Order: sequence, then structure tokens, then C-alpha cells
Amino acid sequence: MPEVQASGWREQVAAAQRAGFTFLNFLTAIDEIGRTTQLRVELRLNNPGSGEGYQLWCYLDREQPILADIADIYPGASWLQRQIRDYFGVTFSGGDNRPLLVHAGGAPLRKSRLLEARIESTWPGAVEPGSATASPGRRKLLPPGVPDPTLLAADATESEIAQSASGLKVRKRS
Amino acid sequence: MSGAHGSIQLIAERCTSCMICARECPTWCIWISSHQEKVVPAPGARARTQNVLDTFAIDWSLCMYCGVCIEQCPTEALLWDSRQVPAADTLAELLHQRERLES
Repeated sequence: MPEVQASGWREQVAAAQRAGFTFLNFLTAIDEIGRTTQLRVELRLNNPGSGEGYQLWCYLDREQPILADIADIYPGASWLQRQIRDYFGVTFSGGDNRPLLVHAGGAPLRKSRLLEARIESTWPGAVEPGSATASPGRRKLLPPGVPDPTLLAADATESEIAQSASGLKVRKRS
Repeated sequence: MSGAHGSIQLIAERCTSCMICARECPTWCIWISSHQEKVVPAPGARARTQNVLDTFAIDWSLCMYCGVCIEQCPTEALLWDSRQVPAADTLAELLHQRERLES
């Protein structure tokens, strides 16, 4: 289950295939903001004979995420790479980088992306038990995915906004 | 409860208006309102405040049948129902109120 440097990605993936992990299970990305500022691309493989699993991942720079294409090693990876490009804005050098479903751009599955519709619309969970409307005076409950409004007004970092949206109490820096 | 996930049934007597389902719902499709009443559980006992459910609505145009509300309900007031939600001409007709959810 190794972490791989982005520069050695193709080499390590090819080595895993030679070692018998010939089945591409999944290829996806995870926004690790809050832990690190990087994006993680994870590849899951299986050995069809033994059923044994194998994972490879690498961390990519948030501003310029570029990774080598592995579609010639696992042809099925092409579709998944295009999906990662759509959702996380990762470019696969030498690969097919055409939009798959998201043509608007903007990496919608990054945790730093604000869910504006959720901020603007009324959340049914804001009503307290035993009442009919959300009371404005009391401590306001926030739905998942919506950061603290005081944090948004301040010059918070992307990481602080993402942590606040995941339900953590993030204090404003003084 | 049957194995089919056609719709969600409400058993209003079991509901304590705790709001857990409405807060857990990923699509925000459950709308609840309630009020508080003083009840005396037994003659001579101290009066207690209790939440009483007024309205309970599920917007089937938003629901994705994930079952989180059913799983999270601490009193089993929500159950899977094998009956499908019938089609409607307008989105507003897919907002089913308490009476329809209970039947």
C-alpha cells in the first residue's frame, strides 16, 4: 500500500500490473484540505486470481495538479481520469483531458468550493424541536457543507472555510 | 417493513419531533413543525413539557430514497413502505403532508 511520488506514478503502476494486479478497481481523487493543502489521487487494483487488493496513491500540488496518464496501462483508467479532471481539476499529461460531464469547469468536488445554493436556501433542520420556525436569536445551527458566515466575512483561508463546512468549529484568527 | 424501498411511512404517534431526520437528510426534503405542551403523566405528578408534532412533510421531488432518516430515527417513527410514490403533474403535488405519509 505505498505512497508514490508523482514523478514515479507510471513506473509504480506498471510495476503493480506486472506483479499480478491486473484488474483496475477504481481511480479517484480526494481533497485533503485541512490535513494538507494537497490533492490525493488514489488507485485501487486487484489481483483477479487471488482477489488480493493493492492501493497506490500520490499527492499533487493544489494549484497545478498534473499527473502522468496511465490509460495505456489500464485502458479503463481513461474514463476515470476524465472524471477526476472534471471534479478536481487534475490534468493528466499525455492523456485524454476532454470534459466528461462537467463542461462548466471549476473543480466542483474540491472542499474549498462553496455550496452557494445551500447558503442561500432555507434549511429545514434549523427549526428546533418543539417549534414551528427557526428562531433567529439563538445559536444558529448550520447545515453540513455551509461554513460559518463570520468566517466568510473575514479573510479566512480556503482550508479554514473547508473545515468549517465539515462541521468543525473554526475560530477566527485575531 | 418489507424489502422494497418504494416510499417512507410515518408513524406519527412514535415521533418526538426531535428534528434528527430533518437535519440528517442530505437533500433537505423533510419539513417538520411542532409545539410544546405541558402534560401530567399521572395524577399528582409534576407537569412535564413535551413536544407535540404539528406538521410533517416529505418532498418526494427531492428525496433520493437513501434511507438515512429511517436509519437515524431513534423511535422508529419512519419505516420503508413498499408502495411507490405516484407520479404527479406538478412538483408541488409531490410534497406529501403528514396525512398522506401516515396512511
